[in-house]
Amino acid sequence: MVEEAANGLEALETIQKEKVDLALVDWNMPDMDGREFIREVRQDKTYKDMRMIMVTTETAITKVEEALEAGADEYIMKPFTKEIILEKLALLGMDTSNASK
Amino acid sequence: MAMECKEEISQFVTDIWSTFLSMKVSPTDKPFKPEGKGNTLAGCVQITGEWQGSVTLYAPKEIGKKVAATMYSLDEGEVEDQQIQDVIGEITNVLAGNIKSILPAPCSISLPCVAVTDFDLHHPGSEMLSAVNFDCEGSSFLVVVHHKK
Repeated sequence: MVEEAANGLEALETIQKEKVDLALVDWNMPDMDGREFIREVRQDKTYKDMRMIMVTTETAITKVEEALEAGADEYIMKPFTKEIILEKLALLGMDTSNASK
Repeated sequence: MAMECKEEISQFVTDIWSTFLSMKVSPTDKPFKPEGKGNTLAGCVQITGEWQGSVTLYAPKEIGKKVAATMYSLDEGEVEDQQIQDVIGEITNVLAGNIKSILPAPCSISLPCVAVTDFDLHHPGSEMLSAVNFDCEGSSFLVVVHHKK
């Protein structure tokens, strides 16, 4: 099941209601951006198994470092293809056998 | 970005369209001409920091509908206006992020805003640096970069 959230605050509410295995997190969001969301989640041990991939237009290596320091497991630059997402999921050891769904 | 950077803009746009949407677009000399009032969407992202300006994407609703249908895996008839505005904002956001990579650092990009316009979005205090028209399956759209004076 896929849940959507318009910003980091909504995403926090979502993960409190639903068990989320993977979050694709956009850096550039209103109210609470992706980096703030990831930092917030990583401070709560409840979500220690949740994987988070930062998705962003930011291409500078310093931004990659910032995302990883915040607690992101991986980083995807836009534009991306489905294959890139699958590759990142495989790197995280996630099951992609149902990816077409 | 002192030069017009039309080649870079063309490359970014064609890459975004092909990678994100599997759609072929190409720069064209045919100018973008909106048909009918309220039929043009303008996505705009501001860039601030070491370089200041904006990136604006003007596209007819018809192209927005095709893009939204592709991005949301829907038939064009199922696409809602909100989805069209969302994809125009997202495409503008990605394009601005790509353009930022060739600007002096540090720079930040704003959240995208989208307007339904009659193709008359004004950028007070800015000069047009570059404008590139693109052809998308027979329809045209336009990318404009403004530099704040």
